[in-house]
Amino acid sequence: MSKDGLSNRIFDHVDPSRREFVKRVLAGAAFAVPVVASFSIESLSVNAAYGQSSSSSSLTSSACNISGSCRCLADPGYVGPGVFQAYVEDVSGNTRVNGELTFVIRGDGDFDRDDRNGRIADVTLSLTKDAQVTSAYLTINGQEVANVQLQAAHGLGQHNLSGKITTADLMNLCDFDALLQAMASQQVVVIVQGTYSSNYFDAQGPVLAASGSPIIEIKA
Amino acid sequence: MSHGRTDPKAIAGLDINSTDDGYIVYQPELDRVHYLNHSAVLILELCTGRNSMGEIASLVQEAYKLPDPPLPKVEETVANLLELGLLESN
Repeated sequence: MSKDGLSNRIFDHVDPSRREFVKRVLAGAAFAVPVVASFSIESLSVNAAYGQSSSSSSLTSSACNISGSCRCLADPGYVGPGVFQAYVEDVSGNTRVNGELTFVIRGDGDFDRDDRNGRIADVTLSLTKDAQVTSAYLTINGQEVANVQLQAAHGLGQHNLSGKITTADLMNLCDFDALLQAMASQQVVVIVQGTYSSNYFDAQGPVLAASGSPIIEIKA
Repeated sequence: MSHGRTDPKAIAGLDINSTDDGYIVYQPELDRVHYLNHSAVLILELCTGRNSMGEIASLVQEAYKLPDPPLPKVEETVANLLELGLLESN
């Protein structure tokens, strides 16, 4: 048994160059049912859906309007795609920055419903090289509904980021299931802002269910 | 002991990036992105081409101090990873 309490037998069975990585994978983790979600980047038809999502239709039924008044119906839970994706490109006219975001939703069993700051989604963001991201957030009909907490991924520059959305990041929504419903019904647009060669960029794109996304269930 | 099956091996050069609660694997040549939780990524790492399915299940049992080897879950995950092209049969 090694000093971290992990059996050396495990490390004897992995590639020597991967032992430190495996040690980090196991650090403090309890067994969970293995989850693999996979999706194609290419198969998304972004443009058609973007036109739909940028329409002026009303907010999802569990969202609040801009004045802050809400019509919160009883939460029935959520059944729908578990992985979403957005292709974004600069709409400011200053640059041609573009890139891709993925959102992996945490289902029941992964999410502590009693934790008010619980994680809703893991987010990864890859933009064109040398783009420096300063903020990212989700909107419905132009109204901000969730902040995306981003951080630089290990060893990567500021154009490749990972992050998360937690319940604390939500605004103008009754609950996080309302956000998921809006994402699944193509009402959500993600906005990523920052600078590129000293020029401000405002990259936007619709959030769409990823092709081949697993269906997840989040109970009310 | 390989239990009559070829021992799976992870595709060389996979780009595995950790997030706070999981791992993202980019496969640019197939234009695909995969999300794996920590249990799935451990199974992927144990697929060296030298470990049988039974050995992987035994190692997962040991790693997480489980009462029994989770062989069905390991087999299911390996089959999934093979189908996605993250593993190859050795």
